[in-house]
Amino acid sequence: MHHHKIVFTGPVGAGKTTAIRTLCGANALGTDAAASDMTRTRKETTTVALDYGTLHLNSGETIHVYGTPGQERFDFMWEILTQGGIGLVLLLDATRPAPLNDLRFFVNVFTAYVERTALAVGITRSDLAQSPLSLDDYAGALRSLDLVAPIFEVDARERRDISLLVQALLLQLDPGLAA
Amino acid sequence: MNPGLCIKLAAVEVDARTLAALTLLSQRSGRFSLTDINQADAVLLDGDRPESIGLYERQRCSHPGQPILLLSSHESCLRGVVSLLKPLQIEALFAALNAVRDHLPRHAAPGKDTAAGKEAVHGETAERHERAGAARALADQFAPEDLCGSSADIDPHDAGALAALRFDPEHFLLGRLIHARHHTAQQHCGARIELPSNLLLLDIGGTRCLTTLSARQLRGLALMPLDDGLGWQAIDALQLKAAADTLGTTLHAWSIELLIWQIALWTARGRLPLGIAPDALVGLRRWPNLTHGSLPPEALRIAALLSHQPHTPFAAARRLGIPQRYVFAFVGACAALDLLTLTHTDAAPAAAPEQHPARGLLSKLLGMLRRNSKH
Ligand SMILES: Nc1nc2c(ncn2[C@@H]2O[C@H](COP(=O)(O)OP(=O)(O)OP(=O)(O)O)[C@@H](O)[C@H]2O)c(=O)[nH]1
Ligand SMILES: [Mg+2]
Repeated sequence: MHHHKIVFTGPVGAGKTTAIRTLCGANALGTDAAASDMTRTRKETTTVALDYGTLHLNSGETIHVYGTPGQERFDFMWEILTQGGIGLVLLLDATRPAPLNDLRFFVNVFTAYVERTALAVGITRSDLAQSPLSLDDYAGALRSLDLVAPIFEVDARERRDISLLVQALLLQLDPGLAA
Repeated sequence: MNPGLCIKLAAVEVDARTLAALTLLSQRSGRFSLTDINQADAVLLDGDRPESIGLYERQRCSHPGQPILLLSSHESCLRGVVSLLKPLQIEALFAALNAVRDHLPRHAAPGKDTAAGKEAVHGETAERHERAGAARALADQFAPEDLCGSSADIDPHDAGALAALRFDPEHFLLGRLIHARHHTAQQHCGARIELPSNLLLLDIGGTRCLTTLSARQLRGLALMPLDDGLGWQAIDALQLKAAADTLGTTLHAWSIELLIWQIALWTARGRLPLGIAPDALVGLRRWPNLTHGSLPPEALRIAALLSHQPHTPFAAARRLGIPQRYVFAFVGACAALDLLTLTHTDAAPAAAPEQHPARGLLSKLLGMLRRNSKH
């Protein structure tokens, strides 16, 4: 069956679980568990399997929204994630030590998928960063990977931010989409 | 802004119909009252009358700081006036009165923006947090006409209409901000931008702008052509600190990118800056940060189209089936942030982007997201 999917990815704590809850509300399901030693310094829980949420259109169709676990062990879910994809939302945590490395890592993991679909990048937690990188820095890193994509500062808790990011994702597939 | 404040407006040499409309509006809205020219906070002149230039000059000499609204069939390039196009639109009049109100010294109260204080000179995450909130608050604060004007589409071959559509950022605060930002980033210094009875400061490296003015006050300034005598100068860290100390306690810190984005939209109101030739192919080098600040109509679609493939502004409007002023507003603001690539057309018109096979479904999803993001 041909599922329509949007995949959220990004490093531990970037806000994938939060963003999917923000976007899908009650139709979001997390698999968070108490964080292991490594991640606990950053937050209490981490996603061990997948985040999953749905968006239901009036016409009865369903969009499936997946979030990868942040601990970089999602090869086994590759098939589920990349079939029937609409596009990839990459969330990057501005407070991490090297967000540009995170960007390169995740874009490389998903290169084939992004080439087939679309990419939108959200920079989270800029408000908490001591000296956040500029959006030009992120755009430069994307350009060196031969990509141009929307890059917005977002707060994963803000519905408008996440919604605009996903709208930008869709419009890249077809700017002629009419709402 | 306090909508209760009533502006005293003198309508000079306007025709009987406009005067009747103004009288009715002043009574109904309570936002302004009509008064004698000597008592007025602001003056409204009919710019199409032969004697209007003389009246304007006399008024400028006798009341130098007094805002002048010029009602005319074309945009005015006179210094220090707010243009109102004929026929007079109620929304445009109220927007102009808001700009005037924010400009009046006795009404100039700081808005609810961040009270970052003098420590704003030293970056604080708390302040950044506040700033993110203030940036979001801007999203709903301004109507589409404040960002895109209300001009109708024109024929790109109509030279007269085309000329009326252009504006020169150098005559406005916008031009000064762009130069000062460039210089502070290159030279790693700060800048001080002089304004009528106020100033803006750019911090070292030009990533933030410090001001005591609220968003509405800044909008009022953005609309007003500035005197050539008011310029900007580079300053060092000590001078920056001293200048910030003189500004008072309610300093708001804006990210420079957000401020230029807003000022560019407010200044242009759907016109095209001189730097973008109407027949230039405009591409997007990087998307603007569209979650922060005002989102002009159809900005996401225009961004998606131009980042996919360069188009002339007119062709982009045609391709998306949207008013030209939306495209002009968007590309003008992107130009101010240096986000565009501009090339000249000899090439064949851009091919239409492919339609996605799931266009129907994606359009429905887009519609749902748009509705949901409103609250
Ligand atoms: N201050 C601030 N907090 C944010 C922002 N965006 C997200 N957060 C918070 O950051 C945390 C992100 O946590 P999660 O949503 O669990 O992150 P995740 O990507 O799912 O993490 P893993 O599942 O461990 O990979 C949450 O506490 C959010 O409330 C932001 O822009 N500002
Ligand atoms: Mg998670």
